[in-house]
Amino acid sequence: MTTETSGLLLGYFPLWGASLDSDSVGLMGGTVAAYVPSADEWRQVTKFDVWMERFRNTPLSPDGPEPPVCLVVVETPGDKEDLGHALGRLGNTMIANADDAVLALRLLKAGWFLDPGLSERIFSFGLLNQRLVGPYRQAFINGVPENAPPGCRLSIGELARSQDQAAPTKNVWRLIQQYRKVKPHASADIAIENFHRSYGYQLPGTQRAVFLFMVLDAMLGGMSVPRFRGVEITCPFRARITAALQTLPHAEAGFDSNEEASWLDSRGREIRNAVAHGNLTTIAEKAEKNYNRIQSIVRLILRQYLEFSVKWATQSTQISSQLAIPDQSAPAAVYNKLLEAQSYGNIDASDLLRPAISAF
Amino acid sequence: MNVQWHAHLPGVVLDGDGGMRIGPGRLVHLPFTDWSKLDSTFSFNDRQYEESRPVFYSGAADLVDPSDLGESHVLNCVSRLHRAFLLHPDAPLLPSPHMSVIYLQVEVSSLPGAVSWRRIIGPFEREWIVFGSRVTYHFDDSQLAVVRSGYEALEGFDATRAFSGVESSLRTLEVTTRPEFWWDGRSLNKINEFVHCIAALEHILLPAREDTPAEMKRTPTFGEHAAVFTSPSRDDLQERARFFSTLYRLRSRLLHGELEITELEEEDLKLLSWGRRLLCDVILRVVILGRTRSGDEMLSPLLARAYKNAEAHHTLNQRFEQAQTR
Repeated sequence: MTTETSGLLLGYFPLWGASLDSDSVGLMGGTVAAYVPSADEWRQVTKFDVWMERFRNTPLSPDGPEPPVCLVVVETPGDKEDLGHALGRLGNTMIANADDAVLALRLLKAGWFLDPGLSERIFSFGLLNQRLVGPYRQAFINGVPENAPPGCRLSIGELARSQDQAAPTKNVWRLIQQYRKVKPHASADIAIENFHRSYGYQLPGTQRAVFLFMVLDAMLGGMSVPRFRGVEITCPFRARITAALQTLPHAEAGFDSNEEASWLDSRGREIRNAVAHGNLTTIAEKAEKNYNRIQSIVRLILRQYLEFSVKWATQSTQISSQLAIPDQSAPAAVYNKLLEAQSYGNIDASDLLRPAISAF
Repeated sequence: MNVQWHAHLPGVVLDGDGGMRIGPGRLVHLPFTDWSKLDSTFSFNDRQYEESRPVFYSGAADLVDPSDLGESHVLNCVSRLHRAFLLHPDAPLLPSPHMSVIYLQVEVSSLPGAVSWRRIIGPFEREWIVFGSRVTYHFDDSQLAVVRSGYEALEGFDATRAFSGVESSLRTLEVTTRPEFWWDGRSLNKINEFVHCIAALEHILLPAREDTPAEMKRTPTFGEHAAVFTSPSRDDLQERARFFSTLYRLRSRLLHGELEITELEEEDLKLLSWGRRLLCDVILRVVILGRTRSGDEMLSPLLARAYKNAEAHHTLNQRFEQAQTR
């Protein structure tokens, strides 16, 4: 597609590995759009020798190498600002917005793509470009490698077509913005970080699984009954996972909560224990086959955990009184207390666990 | 069957001319003319290449076992060397050679005199070879001697017979050197590396959570086991145990969300680097002690006894010293 961009500062964040089923522009949220640039637009922002190398590798494409889906962040520089000055003022915010868009896509649905921070970020203003290259910038010279995991298949219907239209990606984007705005805490930040790391490039399934188990450690205190300062938990892992998944709308979960919790507690635990004890060769095949399933469960719970974190930051007095725990308790402790209460039926915590912001 | 290899070591800088032998190979600066015979992809970049002075682990071996394809033998040696670098007391964050390029030349057994070249290309492609490493760690001969002793300690290491958690801890050291853990310089990177290192230490030093006796408190026990394992002295045992317990406590405060990542105080920030340093020390010790492991012996009960009882501590140290000579 072609856009009118004169006078604008554009940040291009290629999502190598993802695809979009349309030539149209979709909106993620804020000033972030997602679309496939036209061949001309992509040529203008790509480093010439890289573009030529890709062109050589795609001889059947007369317009040049096929552009990847990009997140494109749009900002308006001041009247007399040059690229350097505008980037100094706006660059970090643009990168932060793109990072949130990456997280929104990964929290929305399954499918792999490389974090643009690891390949390349391109800032374009008029005829000038500035690139921040990442450690794997050469990895896609020959297109997406055959051994890359199944890619994220983004549909234009999941993106908004106008600023006032609702859309699944925009809803998740809004949740992330709310989390950033209230009191972010290390537990959720570590969970987010390791969720991202589970998308690592050229990583074996065992290692992807390790990152996902770290997400579970951060949110649920691991797969045993956790010990939190000042908050006692007695509810086992499986029951807490079931409680977490049961409160999600069926359409979002798309699977049987009991069955998934049971699978994670048995087969997932088997993978975790084998990896932790160093029996990697015996479990490699199972980890490779199943990390997507673990990631799907983690994705749903992480979204719930972020939304809970927003509620805890704004309603701690009310929630702590409901659960009879100190209002200075750690967020992970309170989240697990809520899951326990829901599981034991002590209180109806479903309103606090059910997403107010639905991805759908 | 003869196999030759050249494995690029991203991030390694030699303060000297190179040539140090470690295991079956040597650390060398490969001249551009030699490298371009292995790989002609950047045939016009001789100037950049010579400026970056990439270091390779190069060697040749005659493999006795004809069923060994050569490749796995070489890759094991390269991985062992990388692990030995990571176990250096300075705890360098050197990415694996598997992230860059490994060149292999193997004799074609069916055609006498013929050889085949194979390139194993990682996600860095040739970027760090030609344009230089994005992180650099300098090694002089005395530091390389430490790496060599680490390599020798790992030579007899058998993951299937080792104490529980050692192999996964070595993988933790490796994976946390990937650029995702340091490239963008965010404070969260150090925190994430720290929680992974403490989790790895937990697997070595403590029993599995489901096997933990009800009366055992993991935070003080972590400190006690780390303290008694990393020093033969009992003079400052309790003080050291308290210090190592603060590492585990910080891990819990972070994972449970008691802190914002921006709320870490200066003291906490200093503690973060201890996670990796302690893990390196513990791994090296448990690898050596593992040479004397019998059956399915567990480390945690040994450490518990050694902490409480001076005689048991002395016996553990004696066993460690004997294992070092094996």
